[in-house]
Amino acid sequence: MTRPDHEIDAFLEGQLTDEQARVLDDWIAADPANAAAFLHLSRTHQVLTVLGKENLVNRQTEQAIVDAFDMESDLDLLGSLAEMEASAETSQYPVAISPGTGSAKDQDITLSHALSELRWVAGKSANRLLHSKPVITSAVAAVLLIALTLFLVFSGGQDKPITDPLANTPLWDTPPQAHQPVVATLTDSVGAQWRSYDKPVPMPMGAQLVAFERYTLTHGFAEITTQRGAVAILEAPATIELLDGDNALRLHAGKLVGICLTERSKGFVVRTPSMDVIDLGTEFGVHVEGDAVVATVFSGEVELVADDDDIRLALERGQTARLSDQAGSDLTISIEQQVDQGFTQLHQQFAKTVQPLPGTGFGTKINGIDPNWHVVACNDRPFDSPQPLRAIAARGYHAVLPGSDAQWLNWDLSLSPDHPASQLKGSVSFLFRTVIDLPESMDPSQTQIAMHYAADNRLHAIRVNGERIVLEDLSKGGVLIRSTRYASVTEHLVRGENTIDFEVINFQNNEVIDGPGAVSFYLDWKLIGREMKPIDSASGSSGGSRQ
Amino acid sequence: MANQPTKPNDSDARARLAELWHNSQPSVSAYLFASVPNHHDAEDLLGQVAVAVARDFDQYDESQPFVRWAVGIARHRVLNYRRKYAMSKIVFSQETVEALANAVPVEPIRQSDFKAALKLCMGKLQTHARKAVTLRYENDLRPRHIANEMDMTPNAVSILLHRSRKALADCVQDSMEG
Repeated sequence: MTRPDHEIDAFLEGQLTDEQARVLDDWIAADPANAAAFLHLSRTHQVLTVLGKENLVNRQTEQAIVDAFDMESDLDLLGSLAEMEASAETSQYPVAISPGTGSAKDQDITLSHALSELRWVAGKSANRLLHSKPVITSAVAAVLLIALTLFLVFSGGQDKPITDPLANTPLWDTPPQAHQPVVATLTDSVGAQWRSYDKPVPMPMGAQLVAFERYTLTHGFAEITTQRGAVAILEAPATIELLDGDNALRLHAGKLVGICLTERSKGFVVRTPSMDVIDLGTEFGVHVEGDAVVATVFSGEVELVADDDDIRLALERGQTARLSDQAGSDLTISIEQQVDQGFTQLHQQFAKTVQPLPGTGFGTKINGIDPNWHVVACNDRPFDSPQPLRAIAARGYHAVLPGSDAQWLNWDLSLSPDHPASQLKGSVSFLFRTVIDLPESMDPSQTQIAMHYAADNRLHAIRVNGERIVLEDLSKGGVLIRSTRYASVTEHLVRGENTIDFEVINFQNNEVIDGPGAVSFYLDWKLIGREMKPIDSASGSSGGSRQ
Repeated sequence: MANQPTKPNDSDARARLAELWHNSQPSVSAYLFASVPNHHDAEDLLGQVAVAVARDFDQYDESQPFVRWAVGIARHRVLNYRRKYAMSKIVFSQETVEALANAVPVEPIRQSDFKAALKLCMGKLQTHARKAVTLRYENDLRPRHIANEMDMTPNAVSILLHRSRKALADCVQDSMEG
């Protein structure tokens, strides 16, 4: 008999119908294993509910709890609880402290925790009392009193503490964890201050933004870049939430300019409360203010989607759409044949020239040789001739990133015995080299290389025109296979050709962890060619400082 | 041979009762909440069972697992409940009530262990699943509201919640067995 998942969910949610109950009943009774599975699932649901409520209780003040009980009998109940707490402190209902089972403080916490749980039960029942018929009220109150009596019985003479070692561990306020998917990176900012969940958060350059976290820019300007290279420039105050994809965000409030100049970033989506703005390869602005949304296009074209997909329209260069979605009124959209002037300064002074660079394997077929890259040295000993690199798809343990099937470059270390590299043992550095061109139109002093990288085993350093650049982010890290890191380089660039070397560390002769001996490297990078400068009129000063 | 019945007014017996009930109450509660579709009624039944356990503790035979004895009391309460409300409320059959009672593990999983395992398992959930579970259980949101928060359809949220609950239950089971 197939497990009735739908019926189980309805049961857990307290929405079981007669027919669903019959189906579920038949399934549980059919097999003891079904009964055991259902019982365990039900308990999991129950404990999840308790954990969620515990967290809420922890957040509430004592006064807030009292406020919830606005019936005299319930206040009496709380009074009884308070007396019990006081009594416990004066050992009327002693909680014996066994040697080695914890400190006196632990015992206090234990009893307090037990009381708070009872408070929650009492509060839950009390809230139900408020909405119940008097006869039921009396019945439940009687049960509560019995429960209180039981508590007195159970707490008296208890010789072991009731401890939950994780009772005070916040489960539900989980801050962004390292394993949460990184969907964007902070790539520039001016005077920016951030908050997340009403708490100030430091956001240094290169900070990684994870899905489903809400970030509020309270001051200044900031630029974030999605994993697929779309650039969003924000002006405070603005609140965004990154979505569980690599090329979308939700703009809850504020102003944003989006720049999507590369093929990989095309399709960048800005969701607002009433309209989605889908990039079709363009530069555009979106402003959310209450129920109103403004979208304007500087170049290219975007698609607007609203009203549960019933409204879809293209917005072209030089056009502005204004959408109003006030409660109780029809949704209205008006189109103007001019760019909204409210974005002009943000776009002109903060938008940048973005020059995509040939990343590893992009434009190369799987197993093909990438003409842009070579391995040129091993432990700083140059090879007689540059070694070609083969483009490979991400392997099972490598980062899988969208945009290309062949995204890693691989160099097989199965060298002939007389090759110098084959004589090395342990940690070995290999130099991956490419040459990029900085257009004459871009000022090197105002240009940065922004990159997401991953390496098997790890990237150790970068050299720009022979100058070695040690970045803290690169010196840390260990094995960087499953996810990318962000780095930015602004030094030693010149107009025209620039030789860029990446020192990739791997382990030779199968001594450590890398199996047959291959060194692999992933890089997605670009040149960003305009320095962010504060807007005088907006910031009130001409200085501003980069974070 | 059964042990001598325990005297309820004995302080050692009270301490023993407190310990046994503390360890077994989550299992009894899980049984009641699985056996009675109306969660409020299950909550009230739990109070009744607690009273009965305290009142009848002197009849408990310590050679038997306490949880089995307590669940037996709960089972009787549920059967009485279903007889009383069979025509007016949704109730499970007697076979199901019995099957669930028999499924309660004789060695109860301590609530603190269950919570600890569940917290660890929560940490293993993928971000979007953890977000959905958090919105459901902490914020007490229904799937359609979670759908708005997470930019998903309500149906997709329901499926996600179902899969997440199943994954968490399996994870807790594995950690207990491991």
